[in-house]
Amino acid sequence: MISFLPSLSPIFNYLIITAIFVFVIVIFFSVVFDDVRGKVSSEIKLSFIFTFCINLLFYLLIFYLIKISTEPDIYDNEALPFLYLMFLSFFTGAIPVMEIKGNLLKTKGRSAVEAYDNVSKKVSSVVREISLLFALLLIPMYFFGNGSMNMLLILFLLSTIISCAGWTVVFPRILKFRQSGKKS
Amino acid sequence: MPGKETFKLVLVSIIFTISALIALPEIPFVVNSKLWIIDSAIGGYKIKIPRKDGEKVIDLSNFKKDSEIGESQKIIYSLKDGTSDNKDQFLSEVEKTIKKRLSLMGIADFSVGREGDNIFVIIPEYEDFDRVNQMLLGNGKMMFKTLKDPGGWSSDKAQEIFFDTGKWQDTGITEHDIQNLIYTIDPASGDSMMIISFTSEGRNKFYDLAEKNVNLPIAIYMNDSEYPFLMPLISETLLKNDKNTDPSVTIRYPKQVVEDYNLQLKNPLPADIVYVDKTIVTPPIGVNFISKYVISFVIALILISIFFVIKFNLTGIIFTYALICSISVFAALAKLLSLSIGPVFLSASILVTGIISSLGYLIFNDMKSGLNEGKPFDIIYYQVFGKAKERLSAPSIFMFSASLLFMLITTGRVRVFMSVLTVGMLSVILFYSFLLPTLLFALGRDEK
Repeated sequence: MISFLPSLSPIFNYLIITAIFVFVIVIFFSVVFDDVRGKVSSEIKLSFIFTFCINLLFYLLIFYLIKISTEPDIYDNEALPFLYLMFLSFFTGAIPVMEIKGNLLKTKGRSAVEAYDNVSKKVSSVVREISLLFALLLIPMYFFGNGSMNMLLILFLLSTIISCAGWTVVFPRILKFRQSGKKS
Repeated sequence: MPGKETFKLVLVSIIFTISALIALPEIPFVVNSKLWIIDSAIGGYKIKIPRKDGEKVIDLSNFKKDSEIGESQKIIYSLKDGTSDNKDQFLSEVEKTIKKRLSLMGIADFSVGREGDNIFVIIPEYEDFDRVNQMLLGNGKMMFKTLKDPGGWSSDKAQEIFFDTGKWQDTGITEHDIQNLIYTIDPASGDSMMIISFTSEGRNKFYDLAEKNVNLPIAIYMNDSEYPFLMPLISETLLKNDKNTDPSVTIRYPKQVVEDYNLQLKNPLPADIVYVDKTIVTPPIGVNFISKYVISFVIALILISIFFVIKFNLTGIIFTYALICSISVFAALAKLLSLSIGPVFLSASILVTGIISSLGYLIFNDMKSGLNEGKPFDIIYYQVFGKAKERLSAPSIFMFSASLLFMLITTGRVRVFMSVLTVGMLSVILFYSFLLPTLLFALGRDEK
């Protein structure tokens, strides 16, 4: 369990740690996107945070289902896959965001969706291959390790898949959804 | 190759050699033939650093093992008054206080629980049992006492009076009147000092007491111990001080003792406890953890290298050089900073290695597409590591900052994870800002 604030319930610990991370993401955007139009920047930022939170929620839901069905033997390391997912999701999510930024700076006046459409193919392939690299690390450990970390490794792999799906499938949809919502 | 680049390459070699020597365990190197007789070893060094207060030894012989993969110390405590009606309540409050004290002592890897009417504490083998035991047993009480018979005091009787408990009487100044014990060094004499920071009420009580005991000793007792922790003499100069100033006393204890007493004072035990037993616990997740996961980690690195060679031809091997070098630096830093290895360390290492591989992939992918477009190597190189460097550096620096922030505000295993990640992110930054660019510039120019 997260021993962040031992006096609070575990749910609050997860919430606080997520809130701090989201705050770090907001700072990240304010520093990195200072040369991009405010409107477009906030559109990307909100979509990013939304996708990030969906990734975490989706993981927690699957973890809850695993927990009630199999009682995973991961000792006191329950918080590790959650933290792993948070950092991995931020890192993977930074790839499409930085590509979009690069595209926006090349051709000014574009919307975030237009910029994403230009780089979507490259982004999808890069995110997929990066997730594959993480999987290449996890799979040998599952088969050649001593077995004590297998449940953790499965949860890490799950986090990798969720992160990959989040940034290649969910993120562009949220970006487009926000754009269409504004137009209507 | 320009001189600057040659110098950088030499620097890469030096960084790799030093970090590998730090990270390696002691490997014996013995040759006994007709021509050569060598009896030596490589790695696992013990570096001695001479200091003012004695020699400090940096032991690099082995990585520390956490309580899940190394032997642990299991210490049992019970309530001093085991017949209390509120036994359960006391036990759970003591358990909470023990957890808090261990966290504040900086012990990241511990577990505390109940076994019937006892409380158990499990700490790794490398933690100092005596210090932990002293810390947990101390109830956090403090008592100022004065002499019953001030006329009987003389400096040559100081030792006798110090040990004679019958010569002292309570003053009513207790731990409730103290806010903090602060260790400091007197800039004039260089002596170790302890500032006793009182509450405003406690300070008034102390100066009243001092006025009545000029040139007499005051005994300060900690944790209901039999003998005083300190026995300072009240000097006349003390009374000339501003009454809002906290008094300070010269001590002969190291800083850690004062800090530990301060920690006990601020986190008092709700009920006194006694030490029952100490046993050694075998690792719960197997003694072959390190050997098995080192092998699987090496297999994983080989697979990643094959991926790079398939994707980027022989240039991919440059990535493998840089990856191994970064991992050596990471392992060396982890050993130097005494980070304990185990499942938490491995989890963070997977994340760090994955991030290094991903950044390598992003760099090589950009280089490949640039070369396919027919751009010269030098232009692509300066685009990737110059103009477009923010794409690599911004997420890495923010991840480093976030892990550092979490390391400072969390406790337990989360803190260990964040510490390893923080150290790992340093090697990630070294990877994309120095190691890979240098190797790529030196070795990758001829590759098309």
